[in-house]
Amino acid sequence: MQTAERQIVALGGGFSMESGNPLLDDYVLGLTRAERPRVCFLPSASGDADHYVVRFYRAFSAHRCEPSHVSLFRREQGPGDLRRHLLSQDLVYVGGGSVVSLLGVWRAHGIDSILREAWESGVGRGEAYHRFLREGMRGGYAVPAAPLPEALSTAPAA
Amino acid sequence: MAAARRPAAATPVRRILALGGHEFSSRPPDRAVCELLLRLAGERGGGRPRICILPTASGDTSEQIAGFYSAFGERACEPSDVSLFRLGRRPPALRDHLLSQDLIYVGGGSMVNLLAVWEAHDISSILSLAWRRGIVLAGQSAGAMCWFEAGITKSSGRPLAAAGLGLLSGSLCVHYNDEPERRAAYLDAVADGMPGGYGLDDYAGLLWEGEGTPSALTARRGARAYRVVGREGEVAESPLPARLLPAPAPAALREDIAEFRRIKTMRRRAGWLG
Repeated sequence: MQTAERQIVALGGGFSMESGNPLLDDYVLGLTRAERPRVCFLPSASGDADHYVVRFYRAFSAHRCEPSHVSLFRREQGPGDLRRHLLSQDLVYVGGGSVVSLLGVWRAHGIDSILREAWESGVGRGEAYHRFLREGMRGGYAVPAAPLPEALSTAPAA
Repeated sequence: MAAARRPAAATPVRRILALGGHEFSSRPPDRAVCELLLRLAGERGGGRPRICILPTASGDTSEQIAGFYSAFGERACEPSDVSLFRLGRRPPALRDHLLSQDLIYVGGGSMVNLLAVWEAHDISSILSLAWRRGIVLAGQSAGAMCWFEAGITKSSGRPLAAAGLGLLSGSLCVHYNDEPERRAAYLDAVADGMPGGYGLDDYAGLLWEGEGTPSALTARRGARAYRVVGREGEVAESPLPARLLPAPAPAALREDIAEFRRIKTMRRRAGWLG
């Protein structure tokens, strides 16, 4: 079995910060090297803010990818099997907001270990690539001793 | 003399108001709930009590926060909100803010996310301290179940048991007769050994004031609170006698009535009688 390339892109831009500038979003879509990449948006850090989800679907419209999102505040909607859904993506796009709240909610739903598994296996179906995109933690409040590095140490420098 | 010492000053009465479900609308049952919240806050804070909403369980939705301000913004109180998803760049003095309140109201949403985010921000210990200091803790739905040892949440889709903060012993199930599948999951869980507790319909509530049993309240005729007890695989469910809360006229209407009365009095004094 072919080992997939692991990629994490940390952004300080993209649709959440510059709605008129698609260059960074185009770049990360291109990294998947898929014709119609499966892209899942995780808006957990914003508390799954509706306006943020809408802006994602506008930026990652269905004519150039297969967009989806997972709202951990509305689990009665959306994919039932989170692990299967996330492992089948080409790109997981994590929105900005509060990093402390983000990690709390991810742990409660086991998203942290699913993302680690996706990162470590690097394989969903066939040769699918997994890309993780962590937007700059804009708006999150930085506590000096935030438990970020140990909580999500998949990236060498979180 | 020692008799002059008031025991209440040494140990504040611990109060929790658990509500099965309501909204911040202008409909009579919702107004009745808000009047109760104001009254409880006022009993601690006087004429202008401080009331803070924690909308965490909803993901701090603007809808929930706006609803809260529309209900309390023009009343005699100091409303505020703490949005843990939007704290801004400077970490605010969360602890000081919460401990300076007379009533902390917790909104509904995902109970699992609520407790996870509180844990991440270390809010749980602050709320427990607030309770011991006599700050009223109140909430509906997830914001009511969170005070118990356990609740029945749909945070993961279908109704499942989840652990709460455990300030109150036993368990709570909200939207009791409004969501039959939630009630069924609760009765099953209690039969399977989850500690028993209470079921609350929308617009029913339970008020704990100090030790002992809570008093049941209802803001809508027909909405009930139930005691739910499990023993050897059997579950007994019994409705509790509840006090009906009054729903006063909306503030705007009250002002119109007061204005009308003022005019009438002036006319009478002027001898116009009409």
